Amino acid sequence: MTASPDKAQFLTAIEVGAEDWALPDAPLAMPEQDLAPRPFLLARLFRPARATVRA
Amino acid sequence: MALAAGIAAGLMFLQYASASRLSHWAGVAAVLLTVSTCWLAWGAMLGLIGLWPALPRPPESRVIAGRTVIVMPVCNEDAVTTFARVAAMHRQLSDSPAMIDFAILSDTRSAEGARAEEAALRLLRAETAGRGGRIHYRRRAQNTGRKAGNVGEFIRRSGAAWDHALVLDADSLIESETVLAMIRRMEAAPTLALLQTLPRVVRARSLFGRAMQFSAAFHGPVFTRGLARMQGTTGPYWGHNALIRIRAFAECCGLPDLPGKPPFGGHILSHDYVEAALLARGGWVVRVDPDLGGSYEEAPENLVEHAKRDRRWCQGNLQHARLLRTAGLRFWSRATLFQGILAYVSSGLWAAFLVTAVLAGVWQSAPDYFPGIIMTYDDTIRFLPVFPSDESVRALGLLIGIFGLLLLPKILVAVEAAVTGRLTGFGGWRGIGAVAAELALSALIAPVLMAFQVRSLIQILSGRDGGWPPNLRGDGRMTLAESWSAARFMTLWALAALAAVQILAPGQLPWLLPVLLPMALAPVLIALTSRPAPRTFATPEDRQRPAILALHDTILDRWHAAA
Repeated sequence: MTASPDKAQFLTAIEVGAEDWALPDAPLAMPEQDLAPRPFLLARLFRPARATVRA
Repeated sequence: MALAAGIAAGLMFLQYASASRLSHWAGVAAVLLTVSTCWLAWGAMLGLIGLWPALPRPPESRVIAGRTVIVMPVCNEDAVTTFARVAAMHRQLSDSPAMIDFAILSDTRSAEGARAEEAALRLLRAETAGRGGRIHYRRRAQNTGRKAGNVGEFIRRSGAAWDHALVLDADSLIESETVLAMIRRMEAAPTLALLQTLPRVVRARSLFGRAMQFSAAFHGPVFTRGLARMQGTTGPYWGHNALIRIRAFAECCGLPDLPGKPPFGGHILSHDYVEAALLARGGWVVRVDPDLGGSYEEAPENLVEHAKRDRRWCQGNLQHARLLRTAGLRFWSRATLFQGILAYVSSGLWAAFLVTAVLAGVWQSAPDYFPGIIMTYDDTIRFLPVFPSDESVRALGLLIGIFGLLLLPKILVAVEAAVTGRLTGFGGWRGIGAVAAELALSALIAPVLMAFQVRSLIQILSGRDGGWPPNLRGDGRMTLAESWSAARFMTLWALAALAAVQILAPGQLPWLLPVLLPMALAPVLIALTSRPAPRTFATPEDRQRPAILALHDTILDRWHAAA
């Protein structure tokens, strides 16, 4: 029998016989943040002009 | 002011070096000295800004509405000692007027470590049965993303079950009154997403550990007050002993892997600084409240363990160079990331300054005693000797200025402690003796720490990943053979440097001995300072053991007796 991905990755307290001790199932989204650098000053100066052209 | 101090130091060095013709090396040394002194002066500024006592915050007595989870990530720790900490905090909080649960998030990899945690879990279960909040435990088979990944996985899986999370380290302890005060402060400030305490170092036994513990207890509150005043609502996060608003953290702090391989790519090692910056970018308040007592941690007992932890922090901080230009960060967030980088780069700059200053001395031209012809009033031509001006006074002034930047804030903190009565907790006037002893010990071990940091810098910049070695807790005593094995590289560096200076620029030897001698004797220093020294460097926690520490000791003794 193939273990489910959850079962394979997370060993909860259930394995040690303490059923009440497992973490509750209460998911919360945690989106990956964008850490890209801000454009250099010159690029920022020119960006509004390009946006206007596109609009 | 820090910039002005740096420029002044650079100019003084140039004047000193210009006693004979200036070489290129002297120019390089002056630039390095300017940057290094800026960094020293910045630290001194934080101390000076923090000198004035803060007005006490009015106590919050509001009814606590939210649910809190105390999160303890563990990885290859001593399970019994760690789980006993949870038992102690659980016991203290069992009658509290708040819904507070615990989550032990294990990243322990070895089967032996996992079995030890399961055994400790049974002890914890028996200890806490029928009382207080729930305790959850889970172990990941893959420790993806290390500590940040561990906490992140918990939030993604179970975060919506609670409003706040008090994030701890495996060696953290925190008094119940502090936990409740933190929750009340966060509930009273709807935009506050992260509240950091200043953890006090406790339970140090060795000479090195106790000196660090004393320094953190004596100087730490003043420097942290300076930091809090400087950074305001864009405060620091040190990764533990801090309360987070879970939804804000989830919304802002999902960390991606950086492109490329370690040491500069991959997982973000020093995640805490980045998380604080991202919360501030999201419009949330991040604050450190230095007035919150009752927050404790432990620290390395010897120089080698300290250097191992520092190696990890060094890599993590240098990695932040890739995030300095991240879009949308606030000024103080960028400044904090930059300071972190400079904290480690500065060791390299000091070392480079010493090398270039010696080279400047080697390359300086011989003095020209007869630079020109002198016409006298009676029209006779004479050759009068011109002696180079003696600039050693300026060199001494420069040295005093740099030591002043290092010493003055600490001396003023001692004055503050005497005036405010804080000194009593450190043994009264004996505390002043301890301040002097700590300064002397710091001066002795500073070159050793610099050498370790320089080696870390070289390793990281040449692409070597240091990984995440586990912290070794315990008494930390090291033999001379172990110390030699860990620090022989710096003994060899120092002996080679001493020989080179003796041959090339013997006049500079006296200036370099305070740096090179401790490096040459590093193995002896490491071994000696790792010895137990229980009567040295008393702190208030030695005089009156905090209740949570006493409770932890009691539970631990009982568990050990039962085993």
